[in-house]
Amino acid sequence: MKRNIIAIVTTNSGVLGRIGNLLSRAQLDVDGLTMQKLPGKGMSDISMLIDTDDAHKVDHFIKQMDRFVDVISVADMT
Amino acid sequence: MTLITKAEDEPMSACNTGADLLVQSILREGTDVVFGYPGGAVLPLYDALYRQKVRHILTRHEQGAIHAAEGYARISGKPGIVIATSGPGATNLVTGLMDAYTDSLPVVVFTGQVTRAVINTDAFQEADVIGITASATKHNFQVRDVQDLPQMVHEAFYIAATGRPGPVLVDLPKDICKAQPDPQAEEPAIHLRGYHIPGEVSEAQIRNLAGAIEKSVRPVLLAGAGVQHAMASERLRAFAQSQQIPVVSTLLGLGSFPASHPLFLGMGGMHGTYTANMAISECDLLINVGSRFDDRLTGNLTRFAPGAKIAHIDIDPSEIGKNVPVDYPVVGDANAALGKLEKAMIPCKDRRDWLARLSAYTRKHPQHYDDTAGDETIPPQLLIERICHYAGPDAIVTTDVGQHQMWAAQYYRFERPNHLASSGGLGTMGFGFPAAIGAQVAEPGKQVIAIVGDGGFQMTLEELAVVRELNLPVKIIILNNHALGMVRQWQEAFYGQRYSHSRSSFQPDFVRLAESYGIDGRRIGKKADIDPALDAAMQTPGPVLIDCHVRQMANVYPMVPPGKGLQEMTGV
Ligand SMILES: Cc1ncc(C[n+]2csc(CCOP(=O)(O)OP(=O)(O)O)c2C)c(N)n1
Ligand SMILES: [Mg+2]
Repeated sequence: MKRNIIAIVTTNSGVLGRIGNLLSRAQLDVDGLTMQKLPGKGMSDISMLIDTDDAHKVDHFIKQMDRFVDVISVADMT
Repeated sequence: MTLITKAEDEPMSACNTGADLLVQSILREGTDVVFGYPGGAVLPLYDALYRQKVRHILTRHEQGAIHAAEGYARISGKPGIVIATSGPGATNLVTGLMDAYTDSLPVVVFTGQVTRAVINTDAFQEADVIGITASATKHNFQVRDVQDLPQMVHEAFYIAATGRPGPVLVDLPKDICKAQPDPQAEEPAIHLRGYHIPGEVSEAQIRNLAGAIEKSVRPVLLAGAGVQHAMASERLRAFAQSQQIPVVSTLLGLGSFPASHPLFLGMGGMHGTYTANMAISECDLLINVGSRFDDRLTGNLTRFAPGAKIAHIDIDPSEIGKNVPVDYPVVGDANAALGKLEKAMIPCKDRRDWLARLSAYTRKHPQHYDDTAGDETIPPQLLIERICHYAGPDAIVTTDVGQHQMWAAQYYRFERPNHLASSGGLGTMGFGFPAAIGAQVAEPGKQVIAIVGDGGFQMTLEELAVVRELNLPVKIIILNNHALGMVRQWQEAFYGQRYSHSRSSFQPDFVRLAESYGIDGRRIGKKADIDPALDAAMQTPGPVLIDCHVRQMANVYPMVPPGKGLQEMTGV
C-alpha cells in the first residue's frame, strides 16, 4: 500500500540526511520524495510516498521522525 | 601548502575570538570539567582554553574522553562535555556517541572541522562528521556563523539534557573559532520549533492506569533507566510500598529500587533472577517505568508477559508500542507520572497471595553459583559479593561488558540510584574503565570501583595515565578469566565448545603494567586472597589495580537461551 507522509521541517540540509538514514534503516522503499521551501520563516515541507503494507513500521517511522529536532510536524496523510 | 599552514596558524594575540566565545558559552552552562584531546583543527579552541579557566582533562584516546564524559553524566546527572579534533579525533568518538545515544546519556561533543573554504575538498583531516554521526546523536549541527555560537551552544546543552537525554555534537570549522565576533548584548535563547518535550502527564492516561492497578491482582513494576534519569526512585519506592507491588529492574535500572527491599525481585531478562522472570511471565499487569523493552529483557516477544495488560510510562512517545503492544500508555517523565499516580489514591488490594507465590519461587530457586572447585580458585560471583561488602552502600560501580558485567548485576547489591554506570544497550567493551574516571571526577569523595574483564580493559587501558596523573583513587578490579568469557560461554553452549578466538593465549602482566604507570598493582588467585586484597585496596587513598584470576570456565546462569521466553530459563 502507498502511504503519503507529509512533514514540516526547519530548512537545513542536515534534516534531509537524517530522514534518508532513517528510511534506509527502517528498510522502507521510497516511491517519491520532494522537499520544498515554504515562503518566509525558514521552513520547508517534505512529502514522501512510501510503499509498504506494514502499518506498525510506518507508525514507528513517523514517531522516530517526529523525534528529530528539525521536524516540526509529521503525519501520515494517506 | 607551507604558506597556507603559516597563514592558518599565525600567532594570535586576540582574546575575543570565536573560540573564546565558545568557551564562555560552555562556562555559562555551569560546566566544571571537559574531557578532550587536541589537534590541528581545535588549536584555536585549545588556545582559548589556555587563556580561560576551564578544567580540561586530557585523556589518552578520544574514546576514553567520551566514555569518561558518559560516566560523569550518568553519575552527576549533568551533561558530560567532550572536545576532539577533526577527522580521526571525531571518528574516534563514534562508538561513545552511539553508546550515549542508546543509553540516553546527556553528552555534548565539540569537534573541530576544517576551514569552511575547504570543506568537501578532502582536506587534511577532513571527515563528514555531521553525516557520520547523524545516526548516533540526538542532534548534531555545524556552526556556520560565529555570531550563532552562543545560541547553538545553549541549544546543544538544552537538547542533550531535556526530554529523553542524549548526545549532541557541534562541529566547529576552524575559521569560525578564529573569527572575531561582534559583541552580543543578548543572552542566548532557545529557538527550536521542532523540538518537543512532553508536557504535563495526561490525567486521562493516569486515570486509566490507576483503574487497571486497582483491579490488578498480580501486578509487577519494571524499573528502567528512566527512573534514574527522572530522579524518581523515592516516588517509585513509596508507590510500590503503598500498593504492595513487587519490583523488577532492568540492567540500567539497578539501584533505582533498593536491592535489600522485600519487594525487590532482582534484575529481569536473559540473566535475570528466576523470580523476576516468572513475575513478568505470570503477572496480570506489567507497569514499565522508563525502560524500552529491550530484547535482552523481554526474551521471545511472543511469550512475553502472556497474560498481562501492559502499561508503559516513557518520556519518549516513540518507545511506546515499539516492541510490545501497550494497553495503558503514559507519556511523560517518570517522576511526574508516579507523582500523579500517588495522588490518584488507588485503594490497595490485598496482594499477599501473589507476593507469597513469588517468595516461594525465590526460596525454591535462589540465585546461586558453583562454589565446589575448592579454595585454590576464585568463583567470580563470590568476588563480586566481597567487593560489594568492602565497598559499602555508597560506592559507585562501573562495569565493562561481558560475563563480569552480568555477575556484577546479579551479585552486587545496588541500594542507591545513580551509583552504577554500565554500557547497556550498545554493550560497548572498553566503556567501564574510562567511565570510572568520569564518575570519580563527578564524585571525588566517593569510592569508585571499575569492574572490568581482561578483554575489555585492554581496549581502553591507556587511560591508566589519567588516573595516575590526577591521582584519582579509582579501584580497578579485573575479573581475569583469560578469556573473552561471554563469547566463550556462548561457544560452549551453542557452538559445540568450539572456542574460536575466545581464549587468550597471551595477555600482559597487568600488575607490572599498572606499576609502569606508577599505580599499585596486585594479583590474586585464591579464595583466601580476596578479603585482604580488597580491604587493603579500599584503604588505599590512590588508585589500585587488582588482577583477579578467576575460574576460566565459570558461566553466567541462570539464562534465557536466545529465542526462548522468560519462562524457559536454564540453570535455575
Ligand atoms: C567493542 C566490542 N567488541 C566486541 C564485543 C563482543 N563481546 C561481548 S562480551 C565479549 C567478551 C568480553 O571479554 P572480557 O572483557 O574478558 O569479559 P568477560 O566476558 O570475560 O567477563 C565480547 C568480545 C563487544 N561487546 N564490544
Ligand atoms: Mg575475560
